[in-house]
Amino acid sequence: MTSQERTTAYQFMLRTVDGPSGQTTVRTLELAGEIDASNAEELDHALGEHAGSIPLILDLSAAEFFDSAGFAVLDRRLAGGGLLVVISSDSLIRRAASLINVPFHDSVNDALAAIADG
Amino acid sequence: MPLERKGQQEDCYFTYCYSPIRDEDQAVGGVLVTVFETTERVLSERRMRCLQELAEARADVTSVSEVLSRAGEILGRYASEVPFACLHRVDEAGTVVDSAYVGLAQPVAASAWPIQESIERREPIVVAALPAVVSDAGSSEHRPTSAIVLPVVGSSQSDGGAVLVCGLNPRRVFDSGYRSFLDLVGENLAAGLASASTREQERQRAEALAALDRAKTAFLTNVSHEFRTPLTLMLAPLEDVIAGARHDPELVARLESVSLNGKRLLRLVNSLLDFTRVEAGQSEPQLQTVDVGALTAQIASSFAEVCERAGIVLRLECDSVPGAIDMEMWETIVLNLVSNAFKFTVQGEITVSVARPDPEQIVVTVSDTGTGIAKEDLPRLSERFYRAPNVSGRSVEGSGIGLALVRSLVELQGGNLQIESQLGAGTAVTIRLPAHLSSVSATATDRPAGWRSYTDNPYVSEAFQWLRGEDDDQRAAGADRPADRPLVLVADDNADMRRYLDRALRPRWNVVAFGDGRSALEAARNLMPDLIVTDVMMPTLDGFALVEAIRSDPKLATLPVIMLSARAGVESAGDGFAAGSDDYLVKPFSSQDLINRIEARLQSVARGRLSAEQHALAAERSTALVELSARLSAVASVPDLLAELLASPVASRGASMAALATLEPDRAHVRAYFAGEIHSEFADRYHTLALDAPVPGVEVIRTNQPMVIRDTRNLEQRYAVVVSDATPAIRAALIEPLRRPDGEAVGGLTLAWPTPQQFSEEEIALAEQVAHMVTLTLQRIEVAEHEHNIAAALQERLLDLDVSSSAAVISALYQPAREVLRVGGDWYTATALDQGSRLAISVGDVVGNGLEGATVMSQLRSALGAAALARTDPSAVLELLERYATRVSGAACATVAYAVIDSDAGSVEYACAGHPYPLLLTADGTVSYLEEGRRVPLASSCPRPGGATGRSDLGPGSVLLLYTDGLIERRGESLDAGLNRLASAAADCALLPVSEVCSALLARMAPENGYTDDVALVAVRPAAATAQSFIQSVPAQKTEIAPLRGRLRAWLRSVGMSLQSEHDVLLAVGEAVNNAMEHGSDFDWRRSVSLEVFADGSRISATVGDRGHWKGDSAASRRASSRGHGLTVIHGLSKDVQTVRTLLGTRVTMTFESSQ
Repeated sequence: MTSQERTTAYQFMLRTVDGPSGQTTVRTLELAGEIDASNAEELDHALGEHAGSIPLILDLSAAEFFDSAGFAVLDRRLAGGGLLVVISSDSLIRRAASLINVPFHDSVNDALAAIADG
Repeated sequence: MPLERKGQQEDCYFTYCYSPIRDEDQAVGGVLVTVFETTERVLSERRMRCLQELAEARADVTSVSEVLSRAGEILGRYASEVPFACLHRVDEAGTVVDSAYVGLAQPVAASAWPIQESIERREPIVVAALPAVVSDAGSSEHRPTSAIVLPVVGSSQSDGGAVLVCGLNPRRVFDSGYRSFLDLVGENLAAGLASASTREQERQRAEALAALDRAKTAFLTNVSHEFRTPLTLMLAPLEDVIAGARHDPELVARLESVSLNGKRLLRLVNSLLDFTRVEAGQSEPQLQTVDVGALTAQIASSFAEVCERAGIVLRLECDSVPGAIDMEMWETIVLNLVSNAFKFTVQGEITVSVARPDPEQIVVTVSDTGTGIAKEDLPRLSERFYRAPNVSGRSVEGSGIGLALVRSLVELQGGNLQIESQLGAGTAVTIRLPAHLSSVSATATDRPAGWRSYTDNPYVSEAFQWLRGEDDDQRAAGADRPADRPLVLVADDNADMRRYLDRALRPRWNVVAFGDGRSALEAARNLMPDLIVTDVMMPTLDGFALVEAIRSDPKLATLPVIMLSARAGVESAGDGFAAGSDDYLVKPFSSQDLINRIEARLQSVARGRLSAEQHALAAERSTALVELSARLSAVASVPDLLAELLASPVASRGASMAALATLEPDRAHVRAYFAGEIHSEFADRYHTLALDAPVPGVEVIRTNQPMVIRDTRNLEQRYAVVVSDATPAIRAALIEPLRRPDGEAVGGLTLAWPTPQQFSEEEIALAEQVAHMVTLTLQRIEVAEHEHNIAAALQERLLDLDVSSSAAVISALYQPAREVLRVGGDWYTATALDQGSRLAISVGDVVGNGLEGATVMSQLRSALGAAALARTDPSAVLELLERYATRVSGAACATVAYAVIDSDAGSVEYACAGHPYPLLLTADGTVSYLEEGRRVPLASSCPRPGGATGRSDLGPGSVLLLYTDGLIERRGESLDAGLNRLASAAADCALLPVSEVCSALLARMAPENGYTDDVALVAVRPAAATAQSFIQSVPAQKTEIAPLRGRLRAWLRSVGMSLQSEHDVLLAVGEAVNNAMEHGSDFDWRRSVSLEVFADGSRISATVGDRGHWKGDSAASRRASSRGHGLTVIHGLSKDVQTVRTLLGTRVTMTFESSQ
């Protein structure tokens, strides 16, 4: 399992965790910090870099702030497929995500199970 | 005397006057001949005479050819005017049908003249080249060389026309006098022809009528003959059938009815035949001398039984009188008279008397006590076919030839007939016959062949028939009827017809039948039938009168009436309808036809009842619409308009939401207003939309077509987004375009319901009506708003507010005085000073207003701005301004308040030149006035040195308010009282955003009838964070978003709340700030976005303000990839969201309930 951290100019950080999951290789990104109109494009860009042949899990549970600009990025990326969003039940942004109807999983394990189920 | 004038020979007339001229010796030395030309007078007299003769001749002509010949005669006497003349009459095809010639030796062919051309053009044509035949016309000197062809066209000359060709006297100038003379001759002839042809037509018509009359008699004779044989052939076997059907009484009854009516028909035919024979002179009486008295008594007595049955006394007072009569004719006479008497006598007596009052004559009288005949009808009574109108009797059946026949028969036998009658008292018919002295050669017992007895005659049978009918009616009126069926009332004087109708209608309806109009009317009033079937001809009251009576009776007026009549033809039907009957059936008709029509009538009445209810409903609705219209005429704003619509049951039809979309001036966007039950997120999201947005309320504007949405779920896929956004508030909607007078759609009105609706056509039509009213109201509001916008634009232009300051949150208001819209003399300014934390604000008031006041105001304002940059001390700034003001005419006594706020230092420095004290409202709600730094008004007559600059602390969260005296001044109130009112009004504004402080104070301080003076207000709250408030103002830049969030998070932490609550506030406020920067400010760094957050216990309220005008489609992001989640978050996370949009910007206030 390799791990890599990437910190943007300010406000958010993506931690990449790669690991085998059953037969499928999955990449998990853990986001920390804040996403708003000022850095949503950077998030989009970062997700674009990770998008590929293997499924991507974006864990937003630790995000302190994630606004509509961020959710708009998720909408686009989710529509493209190959992305699963995880927002844990105790996440600050869960209420907003529910309002917006973003499809998410409660935990990375749930997301992995969903991938395994196809 | 012929004279040559103007190169033309001319007959002239002169009067010569010879006067002697005497010389000195009184001898006649010469003669003075005075010559007067009298040509004109002579000619006009002669022409007048000619015309007069023509007019006289016209009076008694009877034929067209006579007109021509008489005119020829007269014209011939005036050869000097008309040397020759030809008169040609042509028919429609242009062929000459009649000609007359004057002054010509031989006729000229009509083809020599342009006859047709003249008639068609309706104007005279002068013919210069005359045919040779004319060469000998007139005397040698007056031989015409030209002629005029005059059209003779009268107004009634529909069949072709005529021309008058007149030769022109060559020795007469063809001047206007000559010309108009000839025109008049032509007109005269036209009139003559017209009256002659009218007379001819009249004569022809009279002749045609006489011929027609003869033809009718011949026809009747033939027809009667033709009828009699088959009738006889039918009746004889019928008797056999009746005899053989004794076992079936029902069948016998029916067949007897056939038999009776057949016999009646036969009698009518016989009467007709008799009559026509008499008319045609074919009847020769076979006179026999008989005992007239005995014969008459015997014939009359055949009515004894029927009279007895009817309760009428038949009195026979017949002396034995011999007379020469035709027995058969006599029988007809007596039977007719007695039958008539019986028919019109309902009670009383009938007297038949025969007497010989003198040897010369026999007098036979049949008198009764019946209804009598009106005087005016008497003379016509024995005219054939004449029947006196409105006679009340047993029946009005009959051909109307009875009396005429009697009269003819009496006259054939050398007698005469006389009728005396008095309406209501009775009638007496008297026959006088010449008496014959010879002895009786025949006995009265010699009956005419063919009749078994007199009692077996059809007259008596018919009389029985009338009686039977009356009995039936009495029975029918009392008959039992099922209660739940419609009641049909039948009025017909023919008993058979009544029975027939009763049998035909009884299976379906209850039926009552009456034999005359009056009893039918009475019964109708008592029984209130559902429909009346009436005959036209009836005793006492005929069908027309019955209908009229029904229509004029308010209780019966709507009762459907069907008329039956034997009088065929469209005209009769017209009479029926004109009298007010609903339908009209001509006998003979099939019972099915009648049933169908009754059915149709009853159904239409049922429908009518329904539609009457609907009508009442419609009337109620239109009243409500009028009321609504009145209320709409009072509304001043779109929200008020929508509120009125929703409040009006007729307009809203229970709609829970009303929305109005109006086309923006750019014609590419639409602004929407919502009222009623709609989630605020929807209202915020859809407040401004692109014209091509897939939103029904917008599409009606684009398509100019209404939309009826009975269920939003059935809408097409392209509306999916708006449908989902609108759910659950909207499930059904009626959307009407709002059209300008030229038909262009400039808006849309939406009425919406939270549940699916079944809209009726009526409701849809109603919505259209309401839309029309809304359009009118909207136009009015727009005009008013346009004026308001002008004021606001002036305010923006003249009173500028630095919107970039981040030192404080600033809000200003300018309220023009109520009465007039004008540029005022008030101003306010807010200017950021060199150091970022310092802000200068001012409010000033120039004496006077209008353009002059505005000019002065503008000069002072600019000077103040310059002074503020030149000096830091407010007092010094005003000193500079004072020096400038003394040079500006009109600036005298202007007042100004000037303050510099240092948000870092939390202080304010100020000076006031004759201006009301600035107001300081601290965060804890303490109100104080800043009373230092006083100066006299600018450019005043007695300048005094100004005091020192005033200084005061400006604690965090405090608001500094500058205002003009218009806010506090009231007539009859001291200034202190006004200040006190303002102080108490401001006391509870401490936790309001500054924009709301301004509007709240303006509203609370308003006099009852509105401000009489302009009011300017500036409220400033320095950026700060206190225990209760967090005040920020930041440039509209993306990079400001995160730092602002950081500061807000810190403040929220200090207030103390859960992480989740903190996050939710941060997120909702962040979205609102983002919107304000993006939509309200276009991310323009020169504009600022303000944030004022207040904590009041666990309640957090946050107001985000921008100073821009939201543009574009606020819901577009919803449909785009970004999906516009901002508003969803704002509305989802906050407890309440209030959005206030004004021309000066938008402010969104969110309220949160925080958990600790």
